[in-house]
Amino acid sequence: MRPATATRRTARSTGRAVRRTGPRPSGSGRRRSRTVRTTLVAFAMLSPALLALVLMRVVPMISAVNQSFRHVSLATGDSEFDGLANYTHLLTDPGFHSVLVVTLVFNLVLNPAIVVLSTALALLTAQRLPLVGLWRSMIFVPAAVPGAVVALIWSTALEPDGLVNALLEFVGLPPQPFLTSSSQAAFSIGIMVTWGALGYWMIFVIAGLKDIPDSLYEAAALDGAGWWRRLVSITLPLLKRPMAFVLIACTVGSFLLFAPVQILTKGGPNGSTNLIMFDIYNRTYLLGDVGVGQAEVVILMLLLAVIVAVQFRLLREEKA
Amino acid sequence: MRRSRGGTIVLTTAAVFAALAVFLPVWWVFVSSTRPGNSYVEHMAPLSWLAFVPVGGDLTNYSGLLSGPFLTGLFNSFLVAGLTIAFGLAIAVPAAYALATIDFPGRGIVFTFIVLVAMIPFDAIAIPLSGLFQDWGLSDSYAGLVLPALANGFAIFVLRQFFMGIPSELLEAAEVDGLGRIATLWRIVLPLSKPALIGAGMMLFLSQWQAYLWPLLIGTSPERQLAPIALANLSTLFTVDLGQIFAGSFVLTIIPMILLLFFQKQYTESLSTTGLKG
Amino acid sequence: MGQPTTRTLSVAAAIGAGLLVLAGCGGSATNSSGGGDEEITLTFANADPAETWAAVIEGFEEQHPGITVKQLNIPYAQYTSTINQRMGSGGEGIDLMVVDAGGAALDWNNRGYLADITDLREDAIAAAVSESMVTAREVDGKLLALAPWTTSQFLYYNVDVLAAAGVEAPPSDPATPWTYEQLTEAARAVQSAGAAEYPLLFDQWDTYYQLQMMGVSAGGGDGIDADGVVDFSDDGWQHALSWYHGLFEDGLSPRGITNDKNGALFQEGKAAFIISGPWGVSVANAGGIDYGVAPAPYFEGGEAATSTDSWAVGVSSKTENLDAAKEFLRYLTIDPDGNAQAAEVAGITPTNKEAFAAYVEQVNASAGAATAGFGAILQYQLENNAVHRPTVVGYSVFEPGAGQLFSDIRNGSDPAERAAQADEEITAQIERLR
Repeated sequence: MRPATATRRTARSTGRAVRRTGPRPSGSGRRRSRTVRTTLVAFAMLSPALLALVLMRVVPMISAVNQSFRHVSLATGDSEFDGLANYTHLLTDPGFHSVLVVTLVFNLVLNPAIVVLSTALALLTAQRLPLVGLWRSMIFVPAAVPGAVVALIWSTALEPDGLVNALLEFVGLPPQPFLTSSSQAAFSIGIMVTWGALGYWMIFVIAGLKDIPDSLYEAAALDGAGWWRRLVSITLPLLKRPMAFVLIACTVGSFLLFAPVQILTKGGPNGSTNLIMFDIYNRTYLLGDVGVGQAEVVILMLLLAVIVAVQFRLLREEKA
Repeated sequence: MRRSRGGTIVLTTAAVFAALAVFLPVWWVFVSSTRPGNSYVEHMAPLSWLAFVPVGGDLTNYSGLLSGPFLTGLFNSFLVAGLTIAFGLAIAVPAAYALATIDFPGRGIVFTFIVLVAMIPFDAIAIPLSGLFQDWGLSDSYAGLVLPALANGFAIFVLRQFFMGIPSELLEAAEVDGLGRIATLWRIVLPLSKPALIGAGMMLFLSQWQAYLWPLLIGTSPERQLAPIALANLSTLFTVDLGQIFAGSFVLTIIPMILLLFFQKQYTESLSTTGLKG
Repeated sequence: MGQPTTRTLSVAAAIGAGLLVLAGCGGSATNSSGGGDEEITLTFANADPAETWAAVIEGFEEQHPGITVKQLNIPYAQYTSTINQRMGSGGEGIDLMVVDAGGAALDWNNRGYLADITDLREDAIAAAVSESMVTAREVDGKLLALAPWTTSQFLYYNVDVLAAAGVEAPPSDPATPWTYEQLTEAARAVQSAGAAEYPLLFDQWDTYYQLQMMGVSAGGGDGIDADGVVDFSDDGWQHALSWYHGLFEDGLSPRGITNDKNGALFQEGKAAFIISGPWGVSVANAGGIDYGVAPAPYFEGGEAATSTDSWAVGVSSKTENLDAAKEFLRYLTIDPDGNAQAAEVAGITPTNKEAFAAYVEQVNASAGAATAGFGAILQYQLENNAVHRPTVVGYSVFEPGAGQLFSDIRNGSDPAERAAQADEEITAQIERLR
């Protein structure tokens, strides 16, 4: 039975057999009532989730969207409808343009790096090795470090005479300014985020790896396929679904990142780490410019939606 | 799948090296937590090997920590995280299962909606949401702490991805056996999905384990305070006791690691070795 | 298919019911269900850990059995916007709130959030260490908030480090502080002798609170005028900013050290000098170093200036318990015992004369010769050269903008260029929000 299942599953991951798992109607009268009934079942199963999402996310989001069309006077607190003024202000503000550039470049480098590294770690720690559970758990640990402590650790480690520079000196390299230099600050924050994220995403890739039947590898081994060949033709294609999840969830996570920026650099030096979520936080909470801050939230959501849609599309096309 | 002895040594070395490199900063937190008060800086500028070796340290920070409100905070964090996992999975699993296995009109739209909502930055909507909770009479209650974390679109997303990988003939066979959809989900699908359930559960767990902004916004009274806030309160306005903060951080960090070690067995059982035998 | 459908529906319903049960646990805490007419609950919004205000609330409740005070602890970073949101949508459930120094009282007065408490003015001035502590919170002749706490700035030094570097300690006479130029010279001597890792630290790098006194001392004023026009480019501020810039260029002060560590570094003997507030005493005492306290420096040719103020407390204009709220405020500030309790946990300076005297006596005695002169310096500075943060519209925009300016200068940006940029950007942003 095993080989048969295996082939079936391979076929599935390359085609879209899943779509057809629902009941296949035959007669047209029965068909309608069955469709109605399955739809009802589906929505019954979905309703608690949808209710929670609507109440806990969509309803407050509506208030944010509403705010984005209003202007609040700092002097009087009066709020008035202001049309698209907040949006035009943002889109013509050179400061916002540099926020967009910084955010996009940051994510373009960071997310692929995290996906590749966490997949590599997953492949490594999914092997049968001595004490592998311990090594896996140690790699996972940073995901659980409280945000404020992550910042405390890295602000200390990246100090001019901190741990990282001590290591650099040990191997004979000159000390670096890290967070205090506009050319290195974003990179330093990227390292810190990668450290915190690797083990977390690794867990999801491992879950996907565990889904791949051993029989496939056994069959490939009989064919004399080497390690690399097995990786490219079995493991990676079958990992596509979990990796799609990791890439998308990780992209969203990185776009919404702001605690380390707030604690470590406050967007500086000279705006070099002014990522979009920090800019939103800064405008809304520090500058009190609520309307523009919320307009920026809306723009961020649209931007993310486009990026995620493209990612879905790319991953789907490759499959076909 | 056979590997040579040399291969095992190389791979093990790589895994150990990666684990140690990632763990080093956490280890530094532990060693610093054994230095009373702020005396850890003694070994920081200039950096000495004593920053990484807990020689001459003691556990006073831990005894100080465990006699204060931090212990109540830990209990509350466990309670809130536990409720969040239980209710969060009870909500996410059926939703993900419906999305993965039932072909109904509007499925694409619903899935897109869930992914879109998952992108809403919680920090940006937390203040209006706290106003709503005030109106709903949910301030300062366990329900108020748990509810926002239940709306986790990514938990649904990850479960759906994995449910889609379950062979359809398995589900069809179950239906032939006369099992209903719920029974199939409960008896066939969930036992096969332990890694994904652990992944989704971990997402829900960590979202509460690190909760900071929200519990403060809804005005949580001291007896319902969560651990990260008890930790932050250790540094009062004008005095800092980093030793205790390190100790609290280490406790908060190590607990999820122990949980993961504990779930290791379920986690590493693969579909091929459990589900499809016979 | 029929049976599974109903089963699915009933499971969904069960989950829904579970949620409702969970939600049902809520209500109890927020709705204090009437009771007798005498039972009053005051909600006090603040941005501190609950513990900070617990002692004074307990003392107040003991004296006023009919009144309960509940805290709403909001994270500092979200405090202003949370208050704006709550008060803007009716202000239900908030009776008192802390008001930050600077423009907050003015902004909230314009928005109608704060009750006029001018009837407390006379008693407050009579009880306060200095009159300006009270009048700094007045807008258009209306008193809007009262401060239970105050602050000042001091130059703390490590006796052993200075001795090792052969530097004479700064005088403790508040009338003759060191100049910043003298301080720089001393820090340079420490640096060349290698007597400490960090010659000079500030308690709060890059904050307006910390740097305002330097700009004022150099003759640059507050950096913002009543119309919201920002000017960090004048000679005074440029003098102060160039000095600040030079500290880091020359390695007298470190880049890349975050504010949470400065106290710890001084406490452990890693620094020669730190400019810090009154809380610096308890920080230094905890470390077992031999240290001394001197008045904050001033610029040669300029005037003495020291930053001051902290949170004040105001009464919500929407409160239904105005008298009880004022009673609590009176206890926090005008009542010596209450004021002492209010400052006790935070370890900060109380504003009430009697509470202040007791506080000073206790601090003076806390570390022998090191702190013997502390009270005299504190009192002198509060009475003679304390600079309050400017009460102008747009202060909330100005303060974070100034912080970014200082931070970039610390990291090496040119003071003149960066100040010109800040002047333009902050002024434009204030204008936009008017």
